[in-house]
Amino acid sequence: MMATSFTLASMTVGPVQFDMPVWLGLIPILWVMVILMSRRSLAGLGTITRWVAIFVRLVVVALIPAAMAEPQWRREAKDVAVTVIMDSSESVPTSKQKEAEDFIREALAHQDRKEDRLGVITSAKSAFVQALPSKLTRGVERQHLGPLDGTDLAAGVRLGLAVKPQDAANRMLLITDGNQTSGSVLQAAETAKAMGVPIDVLPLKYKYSEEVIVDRLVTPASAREGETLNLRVVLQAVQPAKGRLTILMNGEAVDLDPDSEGLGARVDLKQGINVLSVPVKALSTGPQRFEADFEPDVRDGRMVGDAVVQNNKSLAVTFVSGEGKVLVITEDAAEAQHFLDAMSAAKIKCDVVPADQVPTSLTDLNAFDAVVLFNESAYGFTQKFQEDLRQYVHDTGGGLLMVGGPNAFGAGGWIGSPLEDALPVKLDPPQKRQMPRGALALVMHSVEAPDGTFLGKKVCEAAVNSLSRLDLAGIVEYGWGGGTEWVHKLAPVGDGTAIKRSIQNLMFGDMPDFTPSLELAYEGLSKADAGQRHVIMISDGDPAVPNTSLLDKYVDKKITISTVGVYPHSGADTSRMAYISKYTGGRHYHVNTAKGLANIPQIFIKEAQTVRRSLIWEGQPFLPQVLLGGEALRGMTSVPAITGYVVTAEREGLAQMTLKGKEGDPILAQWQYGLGKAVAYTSDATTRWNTQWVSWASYRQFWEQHMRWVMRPGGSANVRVSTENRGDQTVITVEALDAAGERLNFATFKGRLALPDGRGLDVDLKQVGPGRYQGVVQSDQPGSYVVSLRYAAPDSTQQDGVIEGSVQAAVTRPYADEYRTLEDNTSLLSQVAELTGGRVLTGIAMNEDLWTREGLKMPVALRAFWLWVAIAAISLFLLDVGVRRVRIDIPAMWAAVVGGFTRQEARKAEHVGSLKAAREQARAKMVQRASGLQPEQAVAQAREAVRKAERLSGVKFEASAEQLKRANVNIAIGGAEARVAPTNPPPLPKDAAAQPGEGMGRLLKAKQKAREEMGEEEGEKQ
Amino acid sequence: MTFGEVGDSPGQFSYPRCIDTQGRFVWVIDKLARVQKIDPSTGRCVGGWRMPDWQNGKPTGITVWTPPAGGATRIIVPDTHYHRVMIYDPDGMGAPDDLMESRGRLIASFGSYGEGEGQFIYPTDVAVLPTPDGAGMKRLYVLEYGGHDRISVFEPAAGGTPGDETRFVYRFSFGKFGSGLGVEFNRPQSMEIDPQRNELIVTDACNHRLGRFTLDGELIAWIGGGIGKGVGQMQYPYGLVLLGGRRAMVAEFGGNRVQVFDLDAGKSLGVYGQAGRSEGQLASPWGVAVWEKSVLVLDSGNNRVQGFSKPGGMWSAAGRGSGGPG
Repeated sequence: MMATSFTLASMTVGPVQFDMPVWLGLIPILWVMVILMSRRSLAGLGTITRWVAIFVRLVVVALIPAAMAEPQWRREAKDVAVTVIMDSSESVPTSKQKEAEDFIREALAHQDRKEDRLGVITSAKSAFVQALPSKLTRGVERQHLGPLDGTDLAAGVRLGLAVKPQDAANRMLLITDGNQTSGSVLQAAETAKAMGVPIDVLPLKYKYSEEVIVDRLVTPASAREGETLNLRVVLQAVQPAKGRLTILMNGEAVDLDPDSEGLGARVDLKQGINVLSVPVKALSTGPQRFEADFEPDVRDGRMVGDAVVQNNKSLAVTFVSGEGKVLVITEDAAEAQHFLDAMSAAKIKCDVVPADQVPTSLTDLNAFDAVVLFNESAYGFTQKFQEDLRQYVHDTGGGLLMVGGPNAFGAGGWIGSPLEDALPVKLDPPQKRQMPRGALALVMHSVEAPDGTFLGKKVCEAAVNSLSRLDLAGIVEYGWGGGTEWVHKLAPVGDGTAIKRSIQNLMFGDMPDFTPSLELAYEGLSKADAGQRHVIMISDGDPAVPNTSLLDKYVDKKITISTVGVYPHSGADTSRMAYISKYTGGRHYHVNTAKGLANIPQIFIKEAQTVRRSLIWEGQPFLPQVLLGGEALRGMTSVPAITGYVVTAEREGLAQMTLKGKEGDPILAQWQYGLGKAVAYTSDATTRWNTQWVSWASYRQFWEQHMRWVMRPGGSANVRVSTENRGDQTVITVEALDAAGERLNFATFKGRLALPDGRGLDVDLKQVGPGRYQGVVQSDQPGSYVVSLRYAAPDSTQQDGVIEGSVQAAVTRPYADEYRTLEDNTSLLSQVAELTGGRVLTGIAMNEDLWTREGLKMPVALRAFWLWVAIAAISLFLLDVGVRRVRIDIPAMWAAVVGGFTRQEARKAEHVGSLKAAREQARAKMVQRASGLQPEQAVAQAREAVRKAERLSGVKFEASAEQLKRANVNIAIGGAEARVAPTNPPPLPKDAAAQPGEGMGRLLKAKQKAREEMGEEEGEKQ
Repeated sequence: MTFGEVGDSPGQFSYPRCIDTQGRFVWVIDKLARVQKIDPSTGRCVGGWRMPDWQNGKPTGITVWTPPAGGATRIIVPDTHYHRVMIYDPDGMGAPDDLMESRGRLIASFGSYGEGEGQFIYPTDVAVLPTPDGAGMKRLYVLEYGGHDRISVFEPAAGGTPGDETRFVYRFSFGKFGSGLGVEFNRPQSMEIDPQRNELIVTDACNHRLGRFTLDGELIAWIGGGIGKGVGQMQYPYGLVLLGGRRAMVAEFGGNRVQVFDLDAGKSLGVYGQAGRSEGQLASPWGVAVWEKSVLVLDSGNNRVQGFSKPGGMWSAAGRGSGGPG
């Protein structure tokens, strides 16, 4: 039975849907009109012909409104796709996750329709698609690559909606404990509901009956050297528990109970909140890192009173103020000796370390009031350290001094680094400088390591970023669309936009052979107008090796190749790539660890530096020009000559150039960057370029003044900072006293909060009481935050005096909220199911049909076909005309087909001849009868005769016959040739002559003409 | 016909790189090192196993061999990045749901890293020459690349049971790395034996040519008009299968197409395919095989197998119910 449905918007009849059904209302009206009109206009046709014509007309007038009603062909989907969103976060006990996997496996075993599909998404802090909905998916396995210390179920639901197939009905299955740390799954469920996707839920139920949480470790945010700090450890116990508490200070355990063995102390925890106090003396300055760690008792290999270990630890940091010190980073302490002697003479304490021993966190970096980079290359530092250092200056008010040398500034690969923003000079030389430039070709092969493509793009960007805008860079790769090609032709880097676009489009094809790529790179580089030409090739090493003749060409042109073997398949691959590098004078890097992988960008920066040697100016000694206004240069009107420096450009804005070199190049510049200050000295501080400087009388004064200018100010006020975490926010409270111990009022604070992810936030403090200031900041990420405050207040002891200084404090979010949950949140999941029309599953797979059609509306694919309906209407209309106007003589047509062209001509003539004979016969009869008939009767009979003639001839060819007559055509009849002489040929009408053979109009005119002619003849006879 | 899609479930692929047929089934190995037996009519995996080692790299070839006179089928896998040849009994394969855990029933393994006799750098394909009575293996040809590109020939050790060979003895090898017109290879990727003519047909991928050799390693002819997209030219021919009438079909990894050659005339008989993701288009095809009345192209870049019907019997396979390109 044909299904029919009708709404105001659409109407469905069987498999056809009309989007504008109102037009269908015209059909009965048109049908009535057609029938009424046809009674008169088709009266002359035979009965069958007339009914056929009426039927065709009815169909035509039905099709036209049908086409206007926008008909669409409906194809309804049959499959159901279920996307499982699996909570992979660490709040879900592992045993529960295993249960969920078993549930899905069992549900698949009981699947009724094998064509139904299963998709898998894992969700923790972020969501990943593990398997797109497919009939081949056989289960869920936890393969979540992202961090697990958070739950964003909403992200999982949104991702599920994004990947749902359009040709199947969709359900989702949310398998989770319902505890989310970010996002709102209810909001996402609203979206699912709007899209008609029910969400079934399978709650993973649990409740920890025994659990201890180290809720927080409270320490003062700041303190003075030698002060005793009172640490408070807050523990939460579900049941009474016993264990050992350990406090670590800067990684070393504090002896809490000298009378007992071991460094910790045994604690008996009562049910609920427990607060323990531990006094600790601050013996050193800088950030002091504390850690409280609770270890439950273990019996028979099982923890007693505790279930989750991730929440047994808490961290806190206290900043202990004291005499300021400076961190000097240099690879060669002997090279920096003159500088260090100057610092020592100035009584500025320095810690000297090489690049691989720098502090690993922003908090640790804040133990220093300034950092000096002494002829250091960018590749010696991780990207994170470079970002930390930038943040150290901008957001925590630390000082930065970059001292030049062949490895510093642009020549050291700092172009494009995070630190470039902090420097008071531009590292890219000005365009006006005519300098030799470098050319770098990157040859990229597929990197099969996890995230290989992402990593490949990062290294390309790192390499390109470290080039100057004048350098040439290009990328060669093997694309699957047709072999090796320049995906970015060798061209000046410029602002980097074009090449970065190319990098984003890289596909990292699986190159079978190194040769074509290296040939292409050679071709480009050998023609490049550049001083240094270099290739960096990244590969897993299995493409076929290039031949020696190609490598010889590289050597001839002094083009070097460095190779980076990423997880090479074997030692042979490594040795082949190393061979290529050695042969051409490049370097080889072997990367087969995750740590090595993370350092690849640094390798590329180092390699890119090969083409940046041209940024060094060396020549005859000259005197840099001293520019006025430099606060750190006070008292100095001239400086000794130098013989070299790294070319940089003046930075517009607030940066101040104080020493100028050749062609206006900066030698010394300074500026305030955020809360901190930075100084750049582009020459060196040794005898390489500064032979006369080290013996200069003002050498110590020069460096001391610059160092003191750049260092973070200590201040004379007694300012204490305390912080308190409240939910996602932290309240920062400052108690300020002046040197006399009086409360410091009307102070202004300029503060920044350095976040764990590298970003910074302004801290706005308002006075809330005498000498008391307070502000609130957002702190929802786990990790360490550094609060840096610069203050200025009126000094009540002096007229117009100002008290200035700075202070740091730390905020710690030791672990994510993920580990604070003690039981599932099934009620939230029930809400999700109810909202979307889903089900709350029991977890017994045999009883549940995951792919149930219940509550689903099967999607329908619509295909418009109004055009075909319209074409059918037009075709039938022509047929209608044909039925009435043209009779098809099938025997004649058949004879024409069989007889060929000649016979066809003969038959045509025969038809025309028979027509003519019929007409002549009709005329003769008319004339004969006219003599004895009334004129009206004669006319009627004449018309009847014409109709008969038409029927006899089979085809109405009046007009053609007339033309034939007038044209005096030879017509073959019965094989003989006869000439048809026109009798009183009338003149051709002008319009007929102008429009020969114009279809229906021409036929009608010809017919009318014939009738007029006959009328005239009758008139003459009368 | 198309089957396969990206994924790690049975029947799904993660960059499949070799294919061969066994009756109404096909065998495929992908970059998860899974050896899958698949029913092309349903697209579903019916069993298989995972290679024992895969961290260094995954196999790039597979040869399914059944003695012409009948007997047990063997799955021969050149374990490319572990420098060895592994021979499996398919009856010991795991169920689809145990694909990742199953290690198959290994009955023989030989080879080690090196350039000596019986050693390999990167073996890519194996071809089997049956004994004259068709009961067992007479010779095993192993193709390799890696700078020491050659074909090594092994014979079953004396005392073995025909049709159940497990021990092999190195006999000789031929070919060297290079691009010259002698017996030189640059990444030979797949190989077939024409039993009627006793010829060895080899795709020399990075030299973009096909080679014809006698079974003793003498060069008969090189076929191919160099690298290019023209008819008769090739771009990295990786896959190879012999068709009837002295025709060979190659899958061009770089050309994203398949091409049929007349081996005697050395001329191309036509090309099919273009780069793309739609049906009928190919992305980096690694292999090709004959299956029933179709040609199956391993469309690696699209993680699928596409089957094309055999027009006018052109593709009728010549006496080869198994074996295929690697």
